[in-house]
Amino acid sequence: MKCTDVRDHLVEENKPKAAVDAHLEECGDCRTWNDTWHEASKALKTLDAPPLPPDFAHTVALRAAGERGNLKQGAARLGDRLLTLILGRDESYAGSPLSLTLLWGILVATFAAASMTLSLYLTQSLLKTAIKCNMFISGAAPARSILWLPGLVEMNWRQGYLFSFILFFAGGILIFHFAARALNLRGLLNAVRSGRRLPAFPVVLSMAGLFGALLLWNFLIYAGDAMARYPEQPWNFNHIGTPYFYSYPHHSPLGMLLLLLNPFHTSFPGLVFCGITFLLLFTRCTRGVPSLVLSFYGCLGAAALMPLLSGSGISSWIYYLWAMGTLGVVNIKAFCIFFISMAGLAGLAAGILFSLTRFDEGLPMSKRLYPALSLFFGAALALVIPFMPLVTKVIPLQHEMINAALPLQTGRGVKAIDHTIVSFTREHTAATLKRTGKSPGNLYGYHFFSRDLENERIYREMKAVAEGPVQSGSFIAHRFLAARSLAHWDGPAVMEAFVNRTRSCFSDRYGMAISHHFYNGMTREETRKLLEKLGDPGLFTQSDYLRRHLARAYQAIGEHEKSRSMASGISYPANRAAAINELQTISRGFDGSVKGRIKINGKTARGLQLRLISSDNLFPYINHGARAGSMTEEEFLHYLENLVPRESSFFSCPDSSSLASRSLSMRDWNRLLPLIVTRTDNNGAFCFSNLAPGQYCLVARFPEKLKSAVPKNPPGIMELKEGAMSRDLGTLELDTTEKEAAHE
Amino acid sequence: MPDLATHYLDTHDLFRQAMKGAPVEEPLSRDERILDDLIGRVKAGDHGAFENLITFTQKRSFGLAFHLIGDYHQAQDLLQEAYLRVFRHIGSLKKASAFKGWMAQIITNLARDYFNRKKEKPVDLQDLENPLASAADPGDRLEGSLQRQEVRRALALLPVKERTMLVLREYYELSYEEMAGVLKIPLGTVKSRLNEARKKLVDAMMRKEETRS
Repeated sequence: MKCTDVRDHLVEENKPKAAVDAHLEECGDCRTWNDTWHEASKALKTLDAPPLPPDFAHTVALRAAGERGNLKQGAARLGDRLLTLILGRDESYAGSPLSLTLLWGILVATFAAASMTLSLYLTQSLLKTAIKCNMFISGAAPARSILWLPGLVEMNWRQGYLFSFILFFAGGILIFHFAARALNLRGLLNAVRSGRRLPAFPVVLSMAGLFGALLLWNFLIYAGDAMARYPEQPWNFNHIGTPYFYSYPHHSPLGMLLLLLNPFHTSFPGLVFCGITFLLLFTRCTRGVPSLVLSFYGCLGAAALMPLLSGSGISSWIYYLWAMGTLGVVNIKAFCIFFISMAGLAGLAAGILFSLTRFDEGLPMSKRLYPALSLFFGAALALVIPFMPLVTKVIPLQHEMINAALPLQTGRGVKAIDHTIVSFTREHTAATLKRTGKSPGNLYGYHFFSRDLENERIYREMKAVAEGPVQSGSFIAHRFLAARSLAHWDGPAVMEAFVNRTRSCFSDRYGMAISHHFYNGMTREETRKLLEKLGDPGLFTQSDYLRRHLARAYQAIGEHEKSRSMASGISYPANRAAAINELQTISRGFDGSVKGRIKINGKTARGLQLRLISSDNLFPYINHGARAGSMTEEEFLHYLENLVPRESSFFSCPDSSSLASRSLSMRDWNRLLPLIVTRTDNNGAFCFSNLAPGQYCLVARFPEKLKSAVPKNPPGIMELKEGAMSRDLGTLELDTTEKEAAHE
Repeated sequence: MPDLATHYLDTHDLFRQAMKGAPVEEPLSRDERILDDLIGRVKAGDHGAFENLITFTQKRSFGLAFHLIGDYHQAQDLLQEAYLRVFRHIGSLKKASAFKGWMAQIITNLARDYFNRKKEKPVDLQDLENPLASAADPGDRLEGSLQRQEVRRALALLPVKERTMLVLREYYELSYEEMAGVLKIPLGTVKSRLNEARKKLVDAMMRKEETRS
């Protein structure tokens, strides 16, 4: 046996005595060690302390009596008495808990079931109130808003709300959010420090330090985010944050914990908060399953407590209602009923949980309050969580996006947003806004806040539509409204950026319609009328659009009966797919073509853009297809003279000199976009194919230096008909010298 | 009142035995009953009973405080605070048998706070030579006083954690389970830490012996 083993035995008595004795006989050191230990042990037991002063007990008792009248002491004693009354706890230190594991499970299950049932019941009657009160506002939003500052200032300045913005920014964000968060953190750190008897924290963890750290933390997150996603415009914070609102993590306990665990989210300090709460609960309560469950609820409670204390809870609801102008008795009553019900239930649940908790003896009441508060909010959250899936079903995505920016909106914007939250119809909201003297334009105000996200979505959808075989006029029209709201809120620059971004998705008449909508600021109705006048179906419904297409196609192939039937709306295509198939089948049969070459001053004209205006392609829309193909040559020329423009050269016009002198403006040129377009190749050759029977007119838009060009041999109006479906125009010549010479 | 106090002090040894968790005998039960009675009366608001409770338990409690922090006056303040806490929260105490552990926990916690404030510096050996302490200690004139001095010195040189373990176990005579409850550490940790503390104490004493010889 080794000396260390023997010495272990001497203090622990865990080895065979005979072996130890034998070793002691042999080893002098161990014998001395043994003697010393026995003497030390005996001395330790008989150690005595100097006597206390004789009046010690009396002095302490007097001090205790002095405390008796103290309010805090009284409250503590009352709390203790209540606890003793309710708990009837076993005070043994044997470490055995209350044998409540089974009972605990039953109670938790009962509680969960009861909370689910109650919340379902409450949902039916109070969900609308909850939505109205915006009870599920994100705590992270105000923090995010701090970096929206440039855009917000601008917006508020424009709207004349700068003062309210400053108030909200200073009060709502700086004080409530950061200060409250820093206070929470500091308070809990202190609680842990004193609870764990740790030395005082360094200066870094002072209030100012925490405040600064939180600010810096948030700033870094957003700066990083901005630089990663928008490297070309990292300083523009207006677009930050929107993707977060797609999935609202607070909708589930797991989501909430994941959110707290995400160090790149502003709620990350919540992790510290929850961790501290967990520590506090777990170390202060009896260990074991109840403690774990309790600590979990405590964590949830802490997570719920944090945004509430940080001012984005009640203050936001009140602010929201006030801003909506609906902070009336009814709302307050509904809110109180809801809040009291929830608080009452949460209090009851917390009471049950708290009563099952065994705290260490000597732990003052004030320290028990931390877990008690956590329990309370944990229970409250457990009650609220079952609401969440229902809420998400009721409230569309926009609501989530609006929620985040809600506190920043005022007056009309909030009114308009209210429309989306409570699912009013657009007309109803417009009527409300009109009645209250607000501009209906604010109806689309929410697009400002969800701008980036919305643009992305529009872009994707537009692209999908543009790439599809048939475009829906009504769908496009809907997008126009989004774009128009951008124009309304953000001015031409943003609008133009939007147009550029989505330009590739637009084609032909849809692009034209959007242009009108964007650049001319026309209303939907005005645009529709204009496009109709131009024969553009951009804002027609899809079924009408297809019907008119078919009518024209039937007309072109001589199926006049079918064409009339379609044009007058007597018959409709069975469905979209059938209509498209039919259109394609009909179109495939056309074999008309127009070809030729172009030379300018005897040289090959390469890359010149040519368009073929067709009476069939253009006119049917003027009168909903009723006059398809029925325009005479005179009418067609008259139309060209009146409608078509200047700045263009008409190869086909018989009286080219009269038309060539007129210039074509950009807008007029765009009106011709839907027509068949081609470019001359390297040899100056061009070819239009798959043309249906009808009248055609060849048009070109000349570059600046060719504006004075005159066609030497214009082909005039070309008519393709059975037996003469192909036209070879030969070499068309443009001469600029003649005019220049005349000029000289 | 003095009669009652004397009676309580006379039965102090019995009280100690009861606290050791020895088999329950008639005198121990009587002692326990006294404590029970006092606690009950304090709970009922009897101010005099609280003074009696202090008198009844102060000697051993002060010994614990004194040996933990090694400063007479600080230990006195600490004990005063401990009794005030007892007074504030005695309502939550149900059984008299838990009083000893509770008291030990409060004193240990307060001592820990004290060391945190002082950044854990070892006991000042000068304090141990304090004439107030030694002269007033009648035990010093007894045979084992030299031995006790040595032990006290060695104890004072131990780290706070190990000193606490030894004092709670050897002087205050808490069971391992009670110590685990008081210090909020597992039973195994209590045993291993105590073992280590004992070894360190003996080693320190032996080194002192060698130096002297």
